[in-house]
Amino acid sequence: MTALVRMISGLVLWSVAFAVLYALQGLGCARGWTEPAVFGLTQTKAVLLAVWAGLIASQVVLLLWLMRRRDTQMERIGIAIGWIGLGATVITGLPILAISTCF
Amino acid sequence: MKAIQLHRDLTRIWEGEPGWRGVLTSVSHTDLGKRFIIAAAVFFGIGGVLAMLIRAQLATPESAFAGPEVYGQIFTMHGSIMMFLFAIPMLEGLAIYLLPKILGARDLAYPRLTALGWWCYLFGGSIMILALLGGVAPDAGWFLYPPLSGKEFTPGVNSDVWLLGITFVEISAMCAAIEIVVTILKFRAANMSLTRMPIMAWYLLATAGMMIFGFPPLILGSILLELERAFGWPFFQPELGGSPLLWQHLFWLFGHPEVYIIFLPAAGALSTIIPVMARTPLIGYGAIVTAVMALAFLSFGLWVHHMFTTGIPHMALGFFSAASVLVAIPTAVQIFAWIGTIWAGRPKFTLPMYYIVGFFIVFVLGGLTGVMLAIVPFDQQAHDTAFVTAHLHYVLVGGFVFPMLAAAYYWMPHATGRTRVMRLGIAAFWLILIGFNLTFLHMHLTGLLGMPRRMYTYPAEAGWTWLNLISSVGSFMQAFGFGLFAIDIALQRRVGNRSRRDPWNAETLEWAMPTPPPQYNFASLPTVDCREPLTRDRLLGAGLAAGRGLLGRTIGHRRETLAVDMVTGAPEHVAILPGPSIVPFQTALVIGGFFLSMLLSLYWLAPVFILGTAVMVWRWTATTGTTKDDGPVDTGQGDQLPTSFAVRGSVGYWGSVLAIAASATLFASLVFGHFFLWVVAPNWPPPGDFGAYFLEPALVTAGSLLALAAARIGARDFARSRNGAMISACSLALAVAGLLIGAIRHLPGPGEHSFAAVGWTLTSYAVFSAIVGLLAQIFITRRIASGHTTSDRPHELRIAAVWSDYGAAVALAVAWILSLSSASL
Repeated sequence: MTALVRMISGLVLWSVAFAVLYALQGLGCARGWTEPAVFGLTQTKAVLLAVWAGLIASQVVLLLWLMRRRDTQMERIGIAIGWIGLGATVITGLPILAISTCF
Repeated sequence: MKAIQLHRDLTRIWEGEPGWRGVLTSVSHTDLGKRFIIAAAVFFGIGGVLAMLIRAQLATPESAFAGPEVYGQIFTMHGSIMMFLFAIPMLEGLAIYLLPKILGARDLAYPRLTALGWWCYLFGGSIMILALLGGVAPDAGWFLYPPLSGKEFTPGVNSDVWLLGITFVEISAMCAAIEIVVTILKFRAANMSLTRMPIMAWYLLATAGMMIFGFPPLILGSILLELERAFGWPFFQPELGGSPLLWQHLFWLFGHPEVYIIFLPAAGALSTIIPVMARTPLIGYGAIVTAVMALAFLSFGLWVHHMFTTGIPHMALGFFSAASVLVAIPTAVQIFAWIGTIWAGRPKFTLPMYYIVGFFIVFVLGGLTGVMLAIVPFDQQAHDTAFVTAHLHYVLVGGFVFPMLAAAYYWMPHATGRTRVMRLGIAAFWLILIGFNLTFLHMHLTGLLGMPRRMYTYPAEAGWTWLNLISSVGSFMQAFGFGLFAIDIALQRRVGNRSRRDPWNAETLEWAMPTPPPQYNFASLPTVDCREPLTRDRLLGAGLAAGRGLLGRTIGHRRETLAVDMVTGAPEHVAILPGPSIVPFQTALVIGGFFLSMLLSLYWLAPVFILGTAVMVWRWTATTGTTKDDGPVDTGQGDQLPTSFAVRGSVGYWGSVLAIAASATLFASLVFGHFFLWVVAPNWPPPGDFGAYFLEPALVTAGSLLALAAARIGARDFARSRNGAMISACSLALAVAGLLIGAIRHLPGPGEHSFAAVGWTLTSYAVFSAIVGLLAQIFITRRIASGHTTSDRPHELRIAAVWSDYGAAVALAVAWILSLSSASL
């Protein structure tokens, strides 16, 4: 069972990342955290950027951990899924850079 | 002579009861799988007739064929039947029939649960069809958006039929999902590691996992909407702090994964059939497994793309748009793997291949328009137009119906032991392919020209007349094609010549048994050392039939199959399976009584059926197990393995874990609903005085923690297990009391505001979960007393502990969520 969980861990982490980003964005907009905070960014966008960066870093750490073992096919699939998790976290978070937060 | 005796003994052990009683008591996965498939095909026929009525109505402008009320029922039932009564049950039927056979097992993990699922599906589907015949079918669209589906705009029972009928059917889907996951992880051939599994098993594992996490939000949504309709609890009414958007979130949290839940098993069939037809191994097994897992997860990040026009901020739309585009990549990986396999092999252009080619054409077009709709500005233009209708039919017919037609022709010789008699299937193929494209290809244009979906008529000046007429002609052509297909299949079943075993020279284990298959599948169970066992050893089937595999002997009347380590496939224990039973049928009847009493507004009667269901479940579990210690049993090849009664990680335990995972998903969705309404819905905070309270949560905390500790101690040390179970049950009763007192003292009436409605729902759920845990612990005390649970047969202790742990954890969480929410208002 542990091997199976390890295999899909990259996408499990992406699921968490996606849910966290969406929830933070919704919460920030609903609570009106739209005042400029740092570097001209609104409070919500600043938090989203920080959290997104943290999530990408977590995906990188997970990937490095997964890459330490590649003896079995499940471990190799796990590494591929780790790459997918990392790529998906980057791509689905890109709107944070490009789009206004609450409109 | 020994082989013939073995077959006689196995037939005696595995055959069902005779006559009508046998129909009601059957737990055979082969019989039940076929029943699911046939019933789903019948529902497909009904849904198809409704589609013809839609096309008859829309063939000409200002048609007088059907008025808006009737048309509303027709298109709602067409969509609902095709999604809930055809597609999902068809994939369940395929999995139920096929899974043990491709894995080298004799049955599924929970034969009686399979039967319960079947009866729930049949009864729930029948309620829907009877409502259609009675003219009171659902009429608010297959996704039943409030406020249209609410009491104000749909005062009759139409929406209740959908909410209760579909939820009844969903019980069947949840049973199947748990069954499929546990069967794949535990009931495989010896040494069949996960990466030696046939590719179909990976697809079904992903699908069933998605069902476990994808269906509970819909079940929750249906419960909430029914509570609103029946008792006026305002979850979706903005004037009382609710929001119709909550329904859309819950529905599409299920609804978009649903598309992939439907597609993945069909893709599994393609990945199985294409290498056989191409006469070469599947290219990119590892890449496909990776892609399937990627689809299983990414598809949960798409649901808001059905809500692009609801006013959600653009950044959030961007998250979902990005995920929607991303999901095309793992889909394309599979498409290229299939094309590569055909390219690398020597393809035979047999009938299944015709439908596979049809799949490629139709599904790729549907995928492309899907990418178009994933782009927010385009979707905002095309939303709710006929363009979307065309897109979804390209995806679902291309991604499910065409592969299922290929699968039908591929596995018919297996199910019937007969070959095709005529060339009707090819004529049917061309009629379906041409008719389908004639119906839907230019429907994209109809949509782009502005025709909304679901409108019952249109003016001649709109300029949509000729497009609609061509669609209607094409749809009738399709209908003739499906009619020919049905005739072809019926002829094969009735008058086809006897087929030889494995007519396709296939690679997977289902072809290593006699066809049609005996109830026990294999006389002895295989040991595998590669993914294509039949390619390695063409005489494998004969060897197994002669009893040269594992468990090639019988013990009394015992139904046995092999359980293995989840990852490596190393033999772990011998699972003892139950025989024919009337209990699943009776349980489904009692559950049906609950749904009917709700539907007929006999609310006072509903608790009687809830109690009846609890009694039936108790009876069900009480008839399992043994009071005898058999010790390890011989596998028939000289090895000794324990039976399932003597191991801790039995399938019962894993099934409980998965059922709790599904229940926890429903709970998480409800907690999401609580905070969603609080943050997003208008008219918050609720009127009235709220404040901090800690006495009742403290009571619940004490009860829950004591229950957790007592269950742990009891599960670890058998000498203290009975006392542990008693203390755990009493502590859970304390938690229940704390929850109820807290709700009565501090929550307003559930009809006053959505905060109170959600609060009462959370409390009810926690009370329910805690009572389930409490009953599990009381059950254990009875089992210890009766000698079923002993230090040598401890597995039920672990199962009871997992249920009471969950009940305690939920009680604890709900008590503090409500307390802290009240303090924050």
